[in-house]
Amino acid sequence: MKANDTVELDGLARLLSASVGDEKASGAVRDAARRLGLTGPLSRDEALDVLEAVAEEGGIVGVTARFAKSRIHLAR
Amino acid sequence: MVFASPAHSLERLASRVTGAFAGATVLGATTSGELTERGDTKGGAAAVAVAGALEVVAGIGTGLGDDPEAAVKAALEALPESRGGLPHQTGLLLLDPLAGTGEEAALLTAGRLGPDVPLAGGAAGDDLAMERAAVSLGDRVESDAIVIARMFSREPLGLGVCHGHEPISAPLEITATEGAKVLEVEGRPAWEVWREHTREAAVRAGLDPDALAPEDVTPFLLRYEAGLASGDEYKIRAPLSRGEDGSLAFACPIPTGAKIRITESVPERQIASARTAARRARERLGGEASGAIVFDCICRNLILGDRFAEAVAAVAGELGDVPLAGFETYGEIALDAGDLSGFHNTTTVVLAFPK
Repeated sequence: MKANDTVELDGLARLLSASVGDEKASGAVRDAARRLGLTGPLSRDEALDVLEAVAEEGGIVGVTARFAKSRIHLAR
Repeated sequence: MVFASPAHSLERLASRVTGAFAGATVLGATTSGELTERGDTKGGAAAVAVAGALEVVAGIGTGLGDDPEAAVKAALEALPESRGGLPHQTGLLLLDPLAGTGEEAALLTAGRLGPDVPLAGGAAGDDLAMERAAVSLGDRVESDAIVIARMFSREPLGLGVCHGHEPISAPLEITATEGAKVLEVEGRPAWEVWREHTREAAVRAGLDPDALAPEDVTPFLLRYEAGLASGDEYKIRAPLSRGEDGSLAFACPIPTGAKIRITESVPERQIASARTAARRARERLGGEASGAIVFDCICRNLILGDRFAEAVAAVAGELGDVPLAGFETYGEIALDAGDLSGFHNTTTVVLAFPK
């Protein structure tokens, strides 16, 4: 994801779904976005904020979000 | 690398192999079956030595169940990140799946190794006892542990993965979990739901889920695994054992709120998927293979029975009848550039080496 790209919430959830499944990924991303007052499409920085908020959940969901975040960071 | 059934002492085998190959990096794992290009065994051991334009360094971390991040960090902390003249790198993981953190370990390792380093590996077995699995580095053997190797090579290695499962149930919500244990599905004890939704397929296969002997429960569960929907595909998650409370223990957590489908596979699809994994590995190699390491799920062996040798032959044939060595695992690891998940079940993972 480049600096000027945007991503929908569903697109962000797809980064997590391979580890936790579509439904859980979508729910975690939407909950985090709601807490942050974001509705999408998300800028790169907003997407990183949402993943950071998901990462706070800990466990497998949190590890997966941190991994996705690191890969977005690297895709500058 | 040495892969050995718990019928043998991995401590003694690892020590002997380490002594026999002075200066080599020796990795090992306990198994639920061992294989070479000549077929598979139970209660045996398989070993393979890899030489050529590559160098392998490895570390070990313990406490994988309680703190996978610390275990991964400990395994990697003393390892060099590059080797002059060997521009390609592949990560190789062996881990104890009974720690219940397979996916976290794979993602944490991939995060540390970086996006250009593919991962391959397997989760140790214990001949389906589900009591003690172990991995080794040199003559050190540990449970609740992970061994991570950085394999530096002149040419890229070839990684391929494929599974052959299809869903047989409607989507089912995971409603209560505890670590890697699924306590409830759809608000009921997990085993109760499993038994109900697998009955029809089980009867077709000559099995009765209501009359399983205790030693037949794990083999049954490994035939009918959970599939997490991810786009158009299913990520397979293997239930390893049943608790007295009707819970099911997995090799990595499935979060509460996730929806799964119970899956099954037929032998033809399992043989085809093994061949596909080998073909993908060969294609990634971009040239001829000299040999391969194979991490193959024990559940595929349970499905294939005597026909498992056909799957092994399919892998060897697809790679040009090269030498193979590997073991039957409780989970497989494959994470390529761009992948966002690395821990698999019921798959064949093939890591091919260039000629």
